[in-house]
Amino acid sequence: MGALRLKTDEIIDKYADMVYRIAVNETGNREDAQDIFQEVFLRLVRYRDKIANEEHLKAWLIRVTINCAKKQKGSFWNRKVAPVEESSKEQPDERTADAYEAVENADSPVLLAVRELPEKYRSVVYLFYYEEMSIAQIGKLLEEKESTVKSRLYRAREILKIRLKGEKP
Amino acid sequence: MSQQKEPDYVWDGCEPYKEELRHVHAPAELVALTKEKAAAEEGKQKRQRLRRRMYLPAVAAAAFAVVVLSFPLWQKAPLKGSETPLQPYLGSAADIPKSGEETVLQQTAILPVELLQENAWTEELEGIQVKFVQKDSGYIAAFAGEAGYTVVSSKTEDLETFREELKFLLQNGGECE
Repeated sequence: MGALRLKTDEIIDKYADMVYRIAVNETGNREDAQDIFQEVFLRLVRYRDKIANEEHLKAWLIRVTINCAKKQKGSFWNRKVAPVEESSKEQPDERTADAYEAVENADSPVLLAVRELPEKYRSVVYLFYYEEMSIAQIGKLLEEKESTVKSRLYRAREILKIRLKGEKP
Repeated sequence: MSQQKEPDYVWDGCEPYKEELRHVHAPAELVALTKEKAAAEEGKQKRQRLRRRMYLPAVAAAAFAVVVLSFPLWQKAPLKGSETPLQPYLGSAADIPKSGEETVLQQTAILPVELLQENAWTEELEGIQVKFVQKDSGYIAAFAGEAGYTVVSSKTEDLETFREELKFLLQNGGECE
């Protein structure tokens, strides 16, 4: 548990891709991802005194990026689209479908399928499959119960399997 | 951040997903711009911290100096006639037992209500603030002493005589026996 000794430039160099990937993964929109990217690192400058070490730093960056993306998406959602009904929440998230076209590698069926997942599943999929975090770690990071994370992961995988194979649920 | 692969969550698309995401990189211009903004923000934070370090002790010292300097002045400030320290009213001069003599003295902890009324006035006799009021056909006066107030009531109608009596009283200690 050493102190955070990296300079801000070094942190940006080291975690730029991770933060950008999460932002793109969460928003599916390059412009929003860029705004989030800057916001996250500016917050880091303001709050770096509270970050104990590099392990804490990585978790902090992931959490703040996800939170900023939710906030950004909320504002986008409020500007562009009328609220959805509760029953439609489990349906694939189509509200930023147009914006996905702008994202790099949007042609990749796997990436597109993940980006079309409902918001709450996307972060779980990213953290579990890409960052290779355990369910306990994800639960801690997202402040959710392990059972909730498991359930979301299971549901996400089922949706992805169906989408990628073109099957009906 | 190690992960124990739970068999229930094995996903065929995992490897292609990771492979595709690996190709997503933060644009160099975005990184450069963010570094610039971060450096500017750091500069701002440093300036704010420096300002706090410089000004806070100065402000604290100034506040302390004001308190220290004003305390003796406040202690020494002379009271105006209208600012004679008064105790809250709890009784009345009417309650003062009458001895049947022309002038009655009494030591009280409080100032009689009559001396708090609008028609009461303050005079300085022998360097002491004395409150006066006309009551019925006489006068009541009071002045603060170490043990409270000395209240003097007189049936005399002559204010000048009453003043002379008070002066005499004050010259002789100002306390009733």
